[in-house]
Amino acid sequence: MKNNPLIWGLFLFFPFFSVGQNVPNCKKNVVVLILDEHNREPLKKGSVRFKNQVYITQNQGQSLLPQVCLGDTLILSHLGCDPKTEVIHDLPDTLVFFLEHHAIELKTTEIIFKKRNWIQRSEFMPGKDPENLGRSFAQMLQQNAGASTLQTGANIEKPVLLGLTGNRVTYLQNGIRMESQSWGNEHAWETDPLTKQNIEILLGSRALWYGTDGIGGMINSLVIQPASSSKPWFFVHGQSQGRGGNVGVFVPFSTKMGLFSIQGTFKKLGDFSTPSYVLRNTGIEENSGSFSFLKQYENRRSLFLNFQIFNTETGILSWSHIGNLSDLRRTIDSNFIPQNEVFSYSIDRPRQNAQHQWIFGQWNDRKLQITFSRQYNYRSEYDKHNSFGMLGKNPQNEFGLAVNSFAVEKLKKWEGWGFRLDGRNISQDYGGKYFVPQFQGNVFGFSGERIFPEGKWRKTLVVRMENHSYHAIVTNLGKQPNLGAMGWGVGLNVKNESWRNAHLVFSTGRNWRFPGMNELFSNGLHHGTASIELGNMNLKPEVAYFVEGLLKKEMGKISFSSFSHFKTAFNFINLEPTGNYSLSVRGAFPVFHYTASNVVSWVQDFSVSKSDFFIPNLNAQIKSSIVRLKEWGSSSNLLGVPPLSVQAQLSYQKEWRGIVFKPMLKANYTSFPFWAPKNLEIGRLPEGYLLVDLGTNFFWKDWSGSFQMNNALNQNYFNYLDRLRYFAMAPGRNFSITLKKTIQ
Amino acid sequence: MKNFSSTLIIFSILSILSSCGKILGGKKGEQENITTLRIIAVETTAGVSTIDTFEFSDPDGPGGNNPTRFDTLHLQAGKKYTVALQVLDYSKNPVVDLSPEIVEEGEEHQFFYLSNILGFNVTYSDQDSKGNPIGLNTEWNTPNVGNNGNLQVILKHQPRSKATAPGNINAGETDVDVTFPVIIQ
Repeated sequence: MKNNPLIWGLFLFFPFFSVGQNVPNCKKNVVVLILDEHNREPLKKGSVRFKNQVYITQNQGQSLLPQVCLGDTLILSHLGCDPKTEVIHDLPDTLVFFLEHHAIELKTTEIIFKKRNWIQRSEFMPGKDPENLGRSFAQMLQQNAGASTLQTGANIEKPVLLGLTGNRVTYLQNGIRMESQSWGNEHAWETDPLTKQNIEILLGSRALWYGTDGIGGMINSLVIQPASSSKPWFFVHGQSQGRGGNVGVFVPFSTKMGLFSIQGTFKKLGDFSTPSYVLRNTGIEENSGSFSFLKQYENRRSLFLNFQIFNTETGILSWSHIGNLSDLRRTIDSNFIPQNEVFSYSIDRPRQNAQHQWIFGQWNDRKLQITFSRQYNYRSEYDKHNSFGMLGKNPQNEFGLAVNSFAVEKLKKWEGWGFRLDGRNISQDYGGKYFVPQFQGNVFGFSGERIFPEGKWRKTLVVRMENHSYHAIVTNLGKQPNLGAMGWGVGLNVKNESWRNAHLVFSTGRNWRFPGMNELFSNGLHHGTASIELGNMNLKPEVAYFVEGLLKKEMGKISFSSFSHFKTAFNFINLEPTGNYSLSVRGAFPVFHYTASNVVSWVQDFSVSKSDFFIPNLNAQIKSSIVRLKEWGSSSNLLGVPPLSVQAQLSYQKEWRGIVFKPMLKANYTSFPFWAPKNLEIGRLPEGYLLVDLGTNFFWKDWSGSFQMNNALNQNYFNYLDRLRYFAMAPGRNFSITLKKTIQ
Repeated sequence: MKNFSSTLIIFSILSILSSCGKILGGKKGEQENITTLRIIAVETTAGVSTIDTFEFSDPDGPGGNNPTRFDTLHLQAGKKYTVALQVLDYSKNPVVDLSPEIVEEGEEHQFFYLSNILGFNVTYSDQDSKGNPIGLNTEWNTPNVGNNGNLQVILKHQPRSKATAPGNINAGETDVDVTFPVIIQ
């Protein structure tokens, strides 16, 4: 009964019930297994100090200890981990311990080589770094992983990878796709980053394991799993922009049933400000909570359950909701500088409300991993002007989306192959005015992965098939089409860690993406851009071919990395102006429609860093990123591709009276968008700008914290990737302070 | 195998527990939207009144189908018209007249009339609680000679920003913006 997961699952609801058994006091041989707390990978070459002897862990993280008794003490350590002392209370054949590996705290854009030979741009831990605690999901990605963000004002952000966003950058949670992307770019991801243990960016072949459509890449976040070493913590964050902040708490606990954790966050911000004026109605209020349960069985089997809830109310810049094209032109032509705007915490129209619920269960043993999840998203949008009459308080748009997902992964290799079978059932409904259709869909995918470890060039092959089928109810056209297709992707990754003392990785492959429902069937007025957006039922699936390479070389204290990515995509779906106007009682609106063309893209990232720069513990880094994404034969990029950016950073570490300080100075230059499509620009393109951030993290006993000053020069600037840049500048200087206390 | 079966049962229970009936839970909000602008122009000569009705109507709102009615204003030269506007929602059955709501929210709304016809004048004959014009009721004076041109009728929503008479067309956002062709004979 002890190992029956059904019983243990039911015990969740009866927390006072427990099971015990008698155990011998000593055992002749016990295997100690040390795993990375974050990714559960074995930590080899770790040390176990036991009875004045040191035992080194082998390739699978294991070490054999002789004559172990109850009450004995082990001291576990590993390079890059804090040592940990464990007293033995139980004597199974295998003792599993987890160490927190700090090597993955590197919060740079440099590509980190994992044990698996993939190109991964970055991986970081949201709750680990105190400066992260006040950031949104997209801000964390921007700061820690080098991703750009497409913004709609101060609080709505979406990550941009390889110049792509929206449907082409897939967000996964524990390998399960989050589906609300079809609601367009003016919506942030509904998730609290502090419910995540770590976040990784997957590019190229690796992204194919989860889907064929991650043409820009995939962002996979791993939900916090309670561990035996987890400690409770809480934090308080305050900032000058918005005159608010957030508070959060994490409480792990264990019973004989298993390991539990509860987490909660509350955030409240008022209006943001540029250096010159208040951005009225840009506040936000969020609350979220999560609950996790982990039951570990013998032989590394485990059952993990997780529940999350997330609610947000986001204000939209008051004067950005315009009536028609004339209003937009008038605003741009007048070079509007708002007067007499006063700070407020209230969130009025226009605004968005969103709710997200997530239930997740995963059974894991050494052979198989079975995952189930259900997600529900609800969003309501309120235009600046409420409707007339009794119905005036209703939102102008409502969307509901429910998704049931499953995934079965074969962990133990069969003839060198690993497999994944996954599927999801999607149901979307809408209320209010028509914009995207009601639909139901089923998607099934099958992935296979084969590793060829022989030789200096380690090769990994991934293949994936997907089948999509949908039934849409397109009310405004009076049609109920059934549509679908089957597609495939393939990727090959080749890695050599010792090529002329450098790391070298190549990846090539093919992506396939079925058009989104908004691209096929949207039909309505977009208030934010004062345009009519029309779907295109004739769109075909996108097919993209890519090749990318990474070179990383270390020469003493200097390290260098270069990442290159080339892609060509066919039937690339893009929203373009038709040149026509649609006449309505509210005036004339320009009409945009989804169309397909062939595109080519090129991304080049460089990074050079030097440790002990002039003085010990001072590290310097310079990195740059160039993105081109354009139609064949065109010299201009597509709309919304990030401009050239160059970042220089100095970081230092100093201990003073037991307090460890990690001060940082960062200068980030963003250029004028030279390759922006000027013919599609309705306003003036923003000039280049330099932003300076400075601050320090500090650690003292169980306390950690951060003091930061962003946009320290209080620079006036317009962000090319902000969809509201026609109406207002970006926010000015921001002071923030964060304090976190870990309770031992 | 036993563990596998048990896991499937747990996931099935979770699935049933998490099933939420309707996706929007019966919320499905409706609104009242302006789809139609109707102009009722009354001209009285020697005690005899002539009533003309002109209309712009786009029942499905912005996007979708083209407007179903878009009239040209035929007016007589050298006349004075008493004009009332009706703002209607044709997407509802029965049709909803939203004009009373605009009067009720008069401190946030104002109609503006722009014409390129020389000698064509519009004067407000209604006002909100603060004495500023709304523009649902107006008087039009046509020039003495025949002419062709346009008349643009704009309704601005100006919460907290409505200016005193004659008003500020640059404030707020647009609820109605229709440019009628005008023929004065």
